[in-house]
Amino acid sequence: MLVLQTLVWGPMHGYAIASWIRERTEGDLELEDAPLYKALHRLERQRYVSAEWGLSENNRRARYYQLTAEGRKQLRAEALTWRRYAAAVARVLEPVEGSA
Amino acid sequence: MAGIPGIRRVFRFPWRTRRSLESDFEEELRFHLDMRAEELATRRGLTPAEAQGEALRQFGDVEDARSYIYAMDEQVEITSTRRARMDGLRQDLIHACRGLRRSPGFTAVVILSLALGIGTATAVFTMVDAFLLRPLPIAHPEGLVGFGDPTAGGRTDVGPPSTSLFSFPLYTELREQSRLVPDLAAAGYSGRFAVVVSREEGAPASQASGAGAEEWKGRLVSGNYFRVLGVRAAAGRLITPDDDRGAGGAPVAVISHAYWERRFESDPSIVGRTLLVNRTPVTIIGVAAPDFIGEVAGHGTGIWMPLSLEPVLLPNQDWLRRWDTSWLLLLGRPEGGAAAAGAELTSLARRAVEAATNASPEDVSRLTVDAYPIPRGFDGVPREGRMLLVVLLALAGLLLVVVCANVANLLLARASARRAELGVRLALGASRWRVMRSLLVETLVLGTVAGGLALFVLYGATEILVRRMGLGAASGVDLARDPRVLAFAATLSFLTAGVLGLLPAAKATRVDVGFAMRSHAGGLHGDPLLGGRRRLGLGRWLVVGQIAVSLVLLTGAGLFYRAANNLGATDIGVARDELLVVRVDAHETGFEGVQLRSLYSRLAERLSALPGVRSASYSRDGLFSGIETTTTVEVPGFEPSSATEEQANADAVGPDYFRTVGARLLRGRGLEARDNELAPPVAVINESMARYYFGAGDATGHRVRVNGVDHEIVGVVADIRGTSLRGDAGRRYYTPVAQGGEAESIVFVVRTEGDPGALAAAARREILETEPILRVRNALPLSTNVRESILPEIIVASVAGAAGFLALGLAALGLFGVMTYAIVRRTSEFGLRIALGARPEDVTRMVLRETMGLFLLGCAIGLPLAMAIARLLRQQLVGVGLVDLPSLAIAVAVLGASASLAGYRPARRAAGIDPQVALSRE
Repeated sequence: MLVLQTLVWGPMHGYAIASWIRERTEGDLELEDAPLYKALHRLERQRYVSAEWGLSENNRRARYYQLTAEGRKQLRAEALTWRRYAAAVARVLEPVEGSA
Repeated sequence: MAGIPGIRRVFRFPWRTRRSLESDFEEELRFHLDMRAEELATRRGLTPAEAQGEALRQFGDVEDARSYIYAMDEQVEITSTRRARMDGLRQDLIHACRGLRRSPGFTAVVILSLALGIGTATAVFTMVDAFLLRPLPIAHPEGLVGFGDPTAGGRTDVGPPSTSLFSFPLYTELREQSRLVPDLAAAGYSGRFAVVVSREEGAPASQASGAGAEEWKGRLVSGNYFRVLGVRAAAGRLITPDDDRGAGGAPVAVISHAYWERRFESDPSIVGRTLLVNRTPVTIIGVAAPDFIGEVAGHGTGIWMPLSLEPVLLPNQDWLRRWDTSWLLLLGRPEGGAAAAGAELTSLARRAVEAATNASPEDVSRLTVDAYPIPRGFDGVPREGRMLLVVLLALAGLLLVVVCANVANLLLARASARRAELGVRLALGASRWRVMRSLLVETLVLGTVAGGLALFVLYGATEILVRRMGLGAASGVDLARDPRVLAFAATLSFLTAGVLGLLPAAKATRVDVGFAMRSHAGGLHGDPLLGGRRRLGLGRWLVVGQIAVSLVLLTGAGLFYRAANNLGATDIGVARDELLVVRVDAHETGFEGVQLRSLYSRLAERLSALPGVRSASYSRDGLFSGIETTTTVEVPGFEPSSATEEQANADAVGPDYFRTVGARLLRGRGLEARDNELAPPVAVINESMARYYFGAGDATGHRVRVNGVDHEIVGVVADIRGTSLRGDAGRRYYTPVAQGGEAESIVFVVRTEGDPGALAAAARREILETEPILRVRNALPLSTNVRESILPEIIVASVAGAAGFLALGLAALGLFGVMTYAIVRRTSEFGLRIALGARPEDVTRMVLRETMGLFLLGCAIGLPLAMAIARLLRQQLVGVGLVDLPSLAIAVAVLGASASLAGYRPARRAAGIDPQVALSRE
């Protein structure tokens, strides 16, 4: 889901996605890059993302990933489930007032 | 290769190899590592080597990721190529449909003619399949061996013991003594039973009146019959040896799946219900497996009952005890092959007959049991029927050939007209396969639609075959649900479409691109597809072929038509247009002997008193009723050299019979009322019999001995054909009904003054008023019955006629199409000719001459073919010479007329070409 979210703003290559995730998590998660690439290729097979070769910022050939319509739908669905889950967990953790 | 995203898709190879997939990922990986190393180098100030190492470490397990990603990518690749291919196909499909819609005339003609051809061929195939090809739906049909005459399935022989059919006592002997056939089963009687289905259970007795009785073909079978065959039950259980024990055994019945479906709507509670069969309550114990319709191919059986029920169901026959009534076919699964079993049964049968009957030693030594494998069941179709099916199959095949030729021609013309378009596509880089595929898809669309329509034709055609030929109910053919038939139709559609599509597609795409793209490459050149002026192209050959086959079909139709006419006009020895034939069943009365006889004479009197009736009489077997009795006669002074020489057909008739039917008495007198049970036994014999046994001498006054009783011959009557218009009339004698010839079913013949059909209702009413319990089976003019007897010939003639005219129409259409197209292609040529001084008449004549050339070439091929086929069908064509000039002449004339008609319009068009317009197009 995290990977899909990174692609919401437009096509990105693998390295950019990896850096973006690192920045957002501020190094809290000590992430390796291999799982990310595995996920990207898996998502491609699931047709949530499509891949094209393009030129990177420094004029090198890079593989750009892009969210497909299906991927967008999937992201929305997953985000919804995630938020519900988070809200539920939050409610459980909040101290309950007025209980006996 | 660098550039705009997406460009790669357009120019990429259809399949990416594994290697290119791998290098793709390696490149992606290197890019990632380089970027990361660069970042590390700038941020943390590592040396390039350290940065590379750190980047690799941060990436994680490269090997694992690599193998995982290769697997993923491969799958991506597979689905995407498949999708690309499907997309292409869908595009072709849409393209094809659009193209076809743009030329509705072409589409309609192709689809309709294909549907007709395929439908007819399938319908005929169905029949052939049902009668000649289909194996019995039983376990291990290959091991099944039949004993007896294969075509004797529906017969009963009275006379000396035989082994073409077996008597019940003989069967019992054989079953008990045979060592090679451990389990010998028997089945017999294929007449119809009167079946009453009671609405409420348990109240069958109240319905004994005979009202509401239906007739179903039934068969009496031995208890081990189903076991030997290996038939399964679809519901309940099947007859077992326990049901077939002792005379008047268990009153049980098994019904066929078709009967269950049609009559009882597949009611699951059928088992245990009671039917009234010939007034005997019989309990249904089960339903046979679907498709099993009995052991005789093409004879559908609705209901099976144990042999031991015979005395109850068919009283007064005593078939279970008589050695002289042979009515059973035997079947078993012998050890050691059919021949050995046949030899064993032969010796057993001879011994048994010798011991039990007073048959002469010659009769005994003539007994031979024929044994042969019957994986498709006994052969129930007589030779004429078999021939008829084969002829029909040939006709349908020829029609399909014509249809295919026509469609191929149209497709060819169409492909040819689209050559410029195809040329452009090829020039733009489309592969030849790609272009061919789009053409193929088009024909497949046509084939599929035609195949769907063909089903309607199929149902229509089978309806006709089944209804008019009376084959359906008998054969148990159920088209709607027969997957074999549907598969045949589908295969035929795709095969024809595929072949038809491939040919023009292959030819049309093999074009010189430059040539095709030059706007109108005509001039004085010919068209490579449709042929030029001198050369005959494929299209013209197809037209020539069509004309030839049409000629064959038309000639055949003429021959069959004339044969049927000749046959129909055969003198049958009676006044056929003045006779009404009424079949009456007195079974329900329970009358016997004298009672029956007096009932019959009373009825004859009442019938002859009807207004418009000249006289009325009756006979046991009737005329063209399909019933025939054959007996053995002994003629003092005549030494038979074989059993067949002693056989003669017999009928029992009422007083005044010969005068009533209008037979010509040649000598002596007819049978009269005074020839009753008190008078000495008498007989009248026919001319053939008189000549056979007495030569030129006078037969009257001589005697014939039948069943040990001497009959004095009192008269000789000219031959009356009683069953068939084909072959010889056969030897026949008549005895008085009053002298013991009565039966529970009788046929009245009524000589009328006007149209016999008009009196049918009155006769029926009169009979029922006299005795309401009688059942009038049918009342039809004799001419109708006679016509029915030659229905096969009439059907072949009409099918051949229809096929011939259809083929003719298609050939004319093909000719018209080819010529029109040729004119269009050669516009400039004609323009040039006219500009050079040719008159319009000259051009017209020139085109017509070409059309006629094709026609004559077709005739030159077709005529010898038609004559060869007529020679092959010699036996079918009664009274028609080998070269039937009228048929040939008419066929050629009709074809010629339609050919010139088809050529006329294109010819006019050619003459009307404006040279200026034509030449300026160049």
